Amino acid sequence: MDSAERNRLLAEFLDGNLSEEDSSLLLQELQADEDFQDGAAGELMVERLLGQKPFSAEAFERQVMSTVRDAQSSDDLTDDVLVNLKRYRGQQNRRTTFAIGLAAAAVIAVGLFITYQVATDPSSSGFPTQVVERVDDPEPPTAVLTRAIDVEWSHKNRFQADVGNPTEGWLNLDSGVIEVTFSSGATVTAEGPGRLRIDSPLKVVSRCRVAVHCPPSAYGFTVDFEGGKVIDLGTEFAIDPQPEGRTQVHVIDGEVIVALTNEEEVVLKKQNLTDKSAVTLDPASGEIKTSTFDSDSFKSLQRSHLLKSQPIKLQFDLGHRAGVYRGIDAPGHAAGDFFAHENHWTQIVGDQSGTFVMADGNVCPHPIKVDYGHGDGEIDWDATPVDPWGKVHEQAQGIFKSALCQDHRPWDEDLGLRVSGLPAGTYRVYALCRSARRPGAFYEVSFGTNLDRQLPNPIEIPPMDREAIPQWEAGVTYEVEDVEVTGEEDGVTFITRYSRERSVRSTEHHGRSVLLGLQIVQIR
Amino acid sequence: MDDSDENQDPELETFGRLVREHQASVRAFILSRMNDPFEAHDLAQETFLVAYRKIGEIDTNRPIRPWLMGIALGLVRNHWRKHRAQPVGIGDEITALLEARIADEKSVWKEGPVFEALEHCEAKLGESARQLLRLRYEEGLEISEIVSSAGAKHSAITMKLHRLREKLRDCIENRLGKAVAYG
Repeated sequence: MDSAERNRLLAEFLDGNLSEEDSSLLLQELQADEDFQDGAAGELMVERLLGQKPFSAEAFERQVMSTVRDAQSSDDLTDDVLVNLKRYRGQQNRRTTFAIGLAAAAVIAVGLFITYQVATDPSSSGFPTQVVERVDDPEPPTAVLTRAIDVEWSHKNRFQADVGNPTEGWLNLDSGVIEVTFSSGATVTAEGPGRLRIDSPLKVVSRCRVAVHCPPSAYGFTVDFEGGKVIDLGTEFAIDPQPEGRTQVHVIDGEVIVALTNEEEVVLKKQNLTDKSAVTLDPASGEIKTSTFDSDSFKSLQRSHLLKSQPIKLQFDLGHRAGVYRGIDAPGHAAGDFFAHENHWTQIVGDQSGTFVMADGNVCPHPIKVDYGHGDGEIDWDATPVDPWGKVHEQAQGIFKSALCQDHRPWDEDLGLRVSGLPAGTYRVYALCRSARRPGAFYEVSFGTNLDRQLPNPIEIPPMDREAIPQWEAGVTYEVEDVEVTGEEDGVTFITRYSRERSVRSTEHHGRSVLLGLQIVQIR
Repeated sequence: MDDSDENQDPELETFGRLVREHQASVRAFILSRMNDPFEAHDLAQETFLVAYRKIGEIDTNRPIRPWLMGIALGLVRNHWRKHRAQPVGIGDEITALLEARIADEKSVWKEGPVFEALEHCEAKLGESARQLLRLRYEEGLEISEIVSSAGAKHSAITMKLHRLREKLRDCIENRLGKAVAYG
């Protein structure tokens, strides 16, 4: 028998679908070949281990300990039991102490290694090399909060944007709409009041109105709710809790399995549901009844609607290299106007226009035009973006060294950036201008729309209070202003100028006007 | 002091740590001898409940794991006596043959850190493979249900699951220190 036929027999046997005749053939094959036997035994064991997936180690331990606690209160435990448990505790404590000792040794070793690295790294010789933290975690978080619209959280403390490992608790919403994007690609939009618990990249527990969008990568995404669940089969659907424990499920596109479950989450009844249809699950009666499909009531929760209505958030880093990179250590983040996942920066090397990536990585729905310019008094928006010395900074090596610090756009006089194409609204603009080489620099800056020169009374950015701050630091290197935009033609403008009179010179050479970066967020 | 609070009861806490440390081995040991995932789970729990009552009888200077396995084996045998008829079908013969192979002293499957290895190996699979496993083993969908939703043939899903199990088997065995070549 060839191996393909053997595999078929074994596969069907493990799936419980092998006929008696084929079972005989498989038994003969197994008895005749010990290697095949070994392989089949291993596969049988994998099948059984996978069958234990519903029982997590944590749940197992919890159940055992719950029963033990009950037994302890009703049984008279002998002294021997208590004595031996005390002995085991002693053994465990000794092992813990040993492990802590090993960990401490490891920490010391790592510390020594880092010290060595810093001491031997030529870029660490007192000169700043990196301002924006590089984000390249190979393990993405389970889910990330990607929208929060008019939200009132029930939590006492401000909600953290990066959900991280959120299995410990619920996201409690008093009101508003949030969108959570899972690493599987699924997006769940939830409307308060209610709560949501993120269990895995493919599972969420909901106690509120939700709309779910699942791309093919999230096939099988499951939403658990009180008395039931929905398993996605490639679709978009919405769940609406009703009075008296009932729940409505509306399938907007594709197909799902809806199921009634008991308290142990065992499926009691289930059925497939295709697009443009709805059911009501009633745990009390154990029935799944057809309902009137109504997609309009979920429109405000659907992803397509949210993409159109989301606030614009853009981040520009000015330097000598093009492209997009990711970083989170910037004033807009520190102020809470940008969440941790909003970490995409576009590098500006001169005039650029067209499609831009927004801070969260989505494509900006509006074509944007970025004008770079410089001049003495009046900005020439068509000026060629070169260093006053006509050369590229030698330190501009690699994009992360350029981020908001060492690499920048310099000019001897006025230097500006203008961003147009933004829809009407109020925009908060964070502008970074500092010189790591010349901490004594004093800048005069202006914010506005369609400016060609500084305002009569520019904002003053005084010198930094200490030299060579290795990273962007709150309050000393940037300014922020709100700017009104009436339409796409308006250009949000930022202009800066180095003050020769008021700067503190530490070298023979005068400082220059510099533009490091701009963060723009639509706030209304 | 509230005795019902596990955190404040050092004896219970100690036992909790023993459960945490050995539950994977006990569950794997029982799984190598039982086909029913629910019964296997119940017997693994029962093993620790018996252990809790009898822990005063053992010599704490000796490793506890063999003692736990002894309890588990006794419970599995009792279960067989009560519930399992003598193998009559060829399927039962195949299962018995393979279980004997797993129980072989050279086998890595009996009581090693197999759950941990499984988790590690599953994480290496692609997203669609993990989803198929999830639908089958976590959601408990029948192959026919997966077939109707995925639009694939029954045989294709069966063989896909087979290949995934093979992949996981090879990965787990390698991780547990036994590289095996199958002909």
